[in-house]
Amino acid sequence: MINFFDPNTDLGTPSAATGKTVNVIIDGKPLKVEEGSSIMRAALESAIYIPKLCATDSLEAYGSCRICAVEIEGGRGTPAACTTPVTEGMVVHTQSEKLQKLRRNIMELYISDHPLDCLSCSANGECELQDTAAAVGLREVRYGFNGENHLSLEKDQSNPYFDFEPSKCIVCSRCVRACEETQGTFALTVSGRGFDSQISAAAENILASDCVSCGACVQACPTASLMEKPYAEGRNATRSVKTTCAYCGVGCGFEVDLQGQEPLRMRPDKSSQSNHGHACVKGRFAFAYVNHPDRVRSPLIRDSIEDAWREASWEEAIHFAADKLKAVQAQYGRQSIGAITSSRCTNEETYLVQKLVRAAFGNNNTDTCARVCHSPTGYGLKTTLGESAGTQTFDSVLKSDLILVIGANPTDAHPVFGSLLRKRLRQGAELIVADPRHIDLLNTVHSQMPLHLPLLPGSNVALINAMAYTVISEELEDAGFIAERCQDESYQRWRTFIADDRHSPENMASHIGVDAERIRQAARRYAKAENAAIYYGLGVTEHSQGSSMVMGIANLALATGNIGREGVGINPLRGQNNVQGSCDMGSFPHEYPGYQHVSDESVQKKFEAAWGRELDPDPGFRIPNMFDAAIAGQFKGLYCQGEDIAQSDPNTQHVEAALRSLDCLIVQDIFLNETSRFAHVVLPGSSFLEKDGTFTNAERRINRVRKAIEPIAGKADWQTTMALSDALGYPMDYAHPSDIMDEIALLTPSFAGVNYDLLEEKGSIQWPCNEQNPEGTAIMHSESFPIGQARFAITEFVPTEEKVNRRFPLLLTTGRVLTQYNVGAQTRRTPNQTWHAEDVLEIHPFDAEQRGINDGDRLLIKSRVGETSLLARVSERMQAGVVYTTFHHPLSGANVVTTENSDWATNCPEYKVTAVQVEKCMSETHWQSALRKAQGATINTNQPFESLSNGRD
Amino acid sequence: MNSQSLINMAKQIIANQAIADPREAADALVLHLKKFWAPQMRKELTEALEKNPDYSSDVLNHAIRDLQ
Repeated sequence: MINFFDPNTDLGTPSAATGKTVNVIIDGKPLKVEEGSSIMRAALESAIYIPKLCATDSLEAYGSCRICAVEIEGGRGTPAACTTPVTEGMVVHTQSEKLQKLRRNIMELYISDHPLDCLSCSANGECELQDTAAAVGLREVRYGFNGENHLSLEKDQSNPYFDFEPSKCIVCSRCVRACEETQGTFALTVSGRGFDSQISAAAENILASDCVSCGACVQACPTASLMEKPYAEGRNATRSVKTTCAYCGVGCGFEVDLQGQEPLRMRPDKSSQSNHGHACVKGRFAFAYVNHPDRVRSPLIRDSIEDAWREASWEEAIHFAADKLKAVQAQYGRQSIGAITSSRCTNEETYLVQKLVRAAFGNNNTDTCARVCHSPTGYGLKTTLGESAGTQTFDSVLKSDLILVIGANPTDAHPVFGSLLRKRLRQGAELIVADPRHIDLLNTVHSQMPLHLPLLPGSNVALINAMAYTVISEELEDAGFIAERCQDESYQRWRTFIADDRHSPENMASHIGVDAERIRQAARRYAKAENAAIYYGLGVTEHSQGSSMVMGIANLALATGNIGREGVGINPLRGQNNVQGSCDMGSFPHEYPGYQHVSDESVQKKFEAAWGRELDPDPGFRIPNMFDAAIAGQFKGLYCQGEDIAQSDPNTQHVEAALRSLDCLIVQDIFLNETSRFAHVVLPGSSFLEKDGTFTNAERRINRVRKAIEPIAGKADWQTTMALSDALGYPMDYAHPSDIMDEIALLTPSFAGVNYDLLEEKGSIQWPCNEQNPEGTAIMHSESFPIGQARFAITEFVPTEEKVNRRFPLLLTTGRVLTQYNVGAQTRRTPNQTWHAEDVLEIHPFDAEQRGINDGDRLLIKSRVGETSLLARVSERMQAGVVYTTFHHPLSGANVVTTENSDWATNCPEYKVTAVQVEKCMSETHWQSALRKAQGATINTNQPFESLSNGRD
Repeated sequence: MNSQSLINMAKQIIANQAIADPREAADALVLHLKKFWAPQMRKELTEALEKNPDYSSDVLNHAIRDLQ
């Protein structure tokens, strides 16, 4: 038996998922198989091999290559096994003489127009064409190779990550179908007819096309026609490691293929429940930062931030840091130091940092970068539903009839989930988008006309209240669900509140900037849908009413009974890979792991017993409080792991003033980031490929992270935290991150059943995983809420204090692009720079014309707190009066202009609403010039790759 | 810490909690502050309001009595 290349066992066609079975006989073997399944899948599931080329189980059957022809007793001809479904009593023959001859003939035709360079071909050994030719017994090609062929077609090397070699293409259209079915972009097509058929990107080359470089086509290609560059250049992996992506909150599973210590490619893992074998341009391709020359490879220390860095040994640097922290506490008191955990690090690392703060620092001054993104999610969902997490699996969206997306841009920020969402829209689900900007999801092809609510930044709560008002006033609520599952007193109170006429769409429309009837239409559609789901992002949370909006979302879902089953629910789309995990692990200053409040006496005793230290029963400082206290001279030491607060936090001037006030700033990062300019100690971080651990994605799924290469600077992050803790006199003793997870499970009720053995067995686990849910929990709140019955919350619309006026007449809102990630520390050091080498300001043509602005002009953006300059992109994606930018590049300074306004309950910054004025200018601002100069002198972060920005982001 | 900023934050909580009865509003505020604010911030808020009674309100007056 030939061992065909197939990393995850390809069953040829997707599962029929009918849940019923039929009896068939294939090659004399009686089988019970799924009704509706293809003959090919039924056979392959029983290890009966049928050759295939155009079929793959991630795509619908297509039936073009004919290599899978079979014979059916009582049937005519030789139908394709991939497109023919099994029926009760069917008798199939797959290996007759006639079929073998037919297959050889077909294969002979393919090979007659294919380069005969197998032994030197980059796909040698993992080429399905090669394997299939061998399987059908092709030994010679009778037609010769001198006739007309495609062998001299030019190679397309325009994409920085993969090549397209049309001479090796068999036009099976797997790439075209992958682009359509899996990714939903429709960038590829088959152009021409018959012999002239070719795969085409409908542009001069792939880079210039609509292609988003997700790699689905590369994954689907059965030959070397579409291939990752290192492989196209002849390199091959010597080993593979299964791990989890370190970019967004989707948490895609990958196989990393390596040559020695060098990762060559990331192959999306078909068995991963997060991504089912799909990926995006970041996760699949943008890993060059791991071995980038900018990596910090040795600890650095200095007495003053005015001094130059001095390389130090780990031991010296750790003791230097510990001595400084001890000195600060001795002079300024126990509360004068704290730490910030990272949503990019593993659960185990995050757990250790908060433990270090609570047990070794002796206070609760621990916070996380989730403070500046999803802290209102934690507050809002805990208050209403009793748990600080999303309610569904990603796959749940495939059961949704209506999808309401609020303040999120999934195709850019959560691309793999965005593709799944688009798939559901193509299947017929309705889409409502509430967003000031026309996001790409609204352009989904082959879907129903979406309803866009282009609301004004800052008016979310007005909108959600107006929608709830419509539900109540038009009696669209689910009375049965409310009576059974919700606290009556809270419902009655809320009902009285929301039924007040001031919340009507007509009265709120002027605040929202959307026609009242359109708001009513959205509310009706949401309430009347069989299964309606809400997906939201930072456009909900990063407001001064972020927590109110999260609670407003929960109110709406509860009032319409859209909680507790597949296809519905409340789904926060987490920005970074481990935002959910960093919150779960007790990063917030008021909660131990598992959201257990520090003031709960029994909880405190449990942790004191486990950690052997007396613990502080009061909440500590949040990040903005740390900054304020630093400026006031009360907070003097900070340990910052994997977070670039100088770039990512609002009002940069304020942040920098706070950082300058510190006597000891320890930065632990893989690069010398912006924050490190104010640091006294830099401890080299380890990338996700350099350590073991777990990440928890936006669907509460705990995925394993596995070490693929040795830590570049010698230590994984968890080992560094342990060393610092030891030096502070609080020894930590873990041999492996699995030991840390065992401790987490012991102290965290929702993780009680989690351990590495179970993760290996199951692949992943969604918490809560405990005695009641030993296999984890896919859909939350299906029978009851952690608080028994859900609570409706009052969500008063309190307009932001950030108002437009004659001096600042435009509202600036911020977001992300597909090809860059967060502050760009990783993606700026990859060829992703090709697509987005700098941030731009999107401005509506009306506002541009009023100011004489054209595309590409340099603009000065002034707010009440600062000014920066960006290049203009005139675009109708924003409505007049609203401008938009991203924050991926330090030189853009988006956060130089954002204010310190923050969410009332959590202090999450109001990044999404800043009143600004925009005017043409001739040059960068002074601070930008100074930063450019400083960067050039110290670190090479600027455009390491040739920029070919084509303006599509 | 910046006392005006602390007072503004407290007022923002009151506005968003939107409870009409000042006593109830103060209870809700105190609960929130105890649950989420560091003791130092609560202390400085109290001191700031004592120093600047003009910035206070019925709800804040009730609340600082409870915080003390």
